[in-house]
Parts: sequence; C-alpha cells; structure tokens
Amino acid sequence: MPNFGIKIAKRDYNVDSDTEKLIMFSKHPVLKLDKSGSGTASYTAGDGGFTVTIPHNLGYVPICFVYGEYFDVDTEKVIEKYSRWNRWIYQGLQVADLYYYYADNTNLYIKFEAATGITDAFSFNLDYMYHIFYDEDDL
Amino acid sequence: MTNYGLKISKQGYDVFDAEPKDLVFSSAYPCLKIIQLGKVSAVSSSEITFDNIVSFPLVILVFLYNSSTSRYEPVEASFDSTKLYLTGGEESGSYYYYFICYA
Repeated sequence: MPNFGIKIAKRDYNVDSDTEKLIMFSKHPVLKLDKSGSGTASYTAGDGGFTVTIPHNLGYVPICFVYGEYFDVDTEKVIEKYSRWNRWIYQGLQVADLYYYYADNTNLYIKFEAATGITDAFSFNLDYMYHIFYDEDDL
Repeated sequence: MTNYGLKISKQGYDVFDAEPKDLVFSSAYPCLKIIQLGKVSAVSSSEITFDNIVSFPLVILVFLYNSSTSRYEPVEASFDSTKLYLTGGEESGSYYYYFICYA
C-alpha cells in the first residue's frame, strides 16, 4: 500500500523526524471537539449531592474532561481553583465527598456526593468546566 | 456559503460521509492543542505561570515521574486563570510533566 498522508513538523524539525517532533500526522487522529462549556452547580445542605446533565446525543460514549472547584471540609470553604472532577476527599480514613463524572450514549453526567453529617451540612456553589470530544471513549 | 475546509478520514472510511469520530482531522471541529508544556521537579511545590492569556475551559494533564518506582502516573493538580499549582513532596529525582491544552 502506498505511504501517503499529511505531516507537519515542529519548527527546526524535518517531517521525517520521530512522531513526537510533529505538530500533526494524519496517521494519528486528533481529538475533535464537539462542545465545551462551563457553569456553576449549587449544592443545598441536606440534599446529599447533585448531578449536572449535559446532553451530547452522539449515540456512543465520547471522551470527556471535567474540571471544577471543590469544597474543603477543614476550612469549610470552596477552594477557588480547578482540578479534575475526579476526587475523593477523605475525613480520617473514611471517604467524605465524591466528585466524579461519566458519559453514556446521550449525556455527560457531572456528579457530587456529600458526606452525611460533614459536608452535607453546608450549602455552596461549585464552578465547573467541561469538554466533550467526538472521539469514542468506549472502543 | 461555500462548503470548504480540510478533512482526513480514518482508514476504511470515506471522507465524504464519515462521522466526525471516524475522521483523523477536520477543520470544521477544533482539535485539542497544547499551548504550554514543561517538566519541573516534583520534590517541592511549584507554581507554573501561564505563558499566554488562556481562556476557560482548558484541559490540563499532569503526570508524575516517580523516581522510587521509575514509573509515570497521572496526578491531580489545581489551576486558576493564571497559574498551575503542583504540590511536590515527592522523592528526589521525581518530576512533573504538564500539558496545558485548549480546543
């Protein structure tokens, strides 16, 4: 089979260089963005958690990234920095709060579960951001 | 408006009717691009200032090279609109590799 395609090399490198020296190589798919966005989710004391549902309707499970703020149990404040929404916060040896996300064929779900009797006693808002790519996560 | 741009399909797919997931590249869809990357010691904490003005949402990936295991592992890091914060506290000879991306 003929060797064909498109290669773009980084500055100062030849297109015949190793792949990590390329900006683009048509042999290797790039992640293609379907949608991205940001928002604020509100947690009300006693609710137990929340779910933000973002529809994509792609018909398959896409690659997603979610980042967001989190509630710090020790200081009883929202940490106004973003990190992967994939966090288990411990109180002693016990998992106190769960932050996680997953997608199915139609939606991205951003979930928060508050520890009963600890974080559950507070109300707060958490900012988040997300990316949904056309590329399949469940191959 | 004229329909124009660049599309490359995966092997076995016709570029004219392939779904976006079956394309290698399409100029119709923004792709994930690295705006800044680097390597810093993971022994002590670091604050990485973004070189450029970046707008949310971002994708930030951080990996730790752990010298005690000689393995690479994804790690959690936090960021705001100007900096990436790395916690440190790892063995001597350990490094963070970070990738700040946008689409």
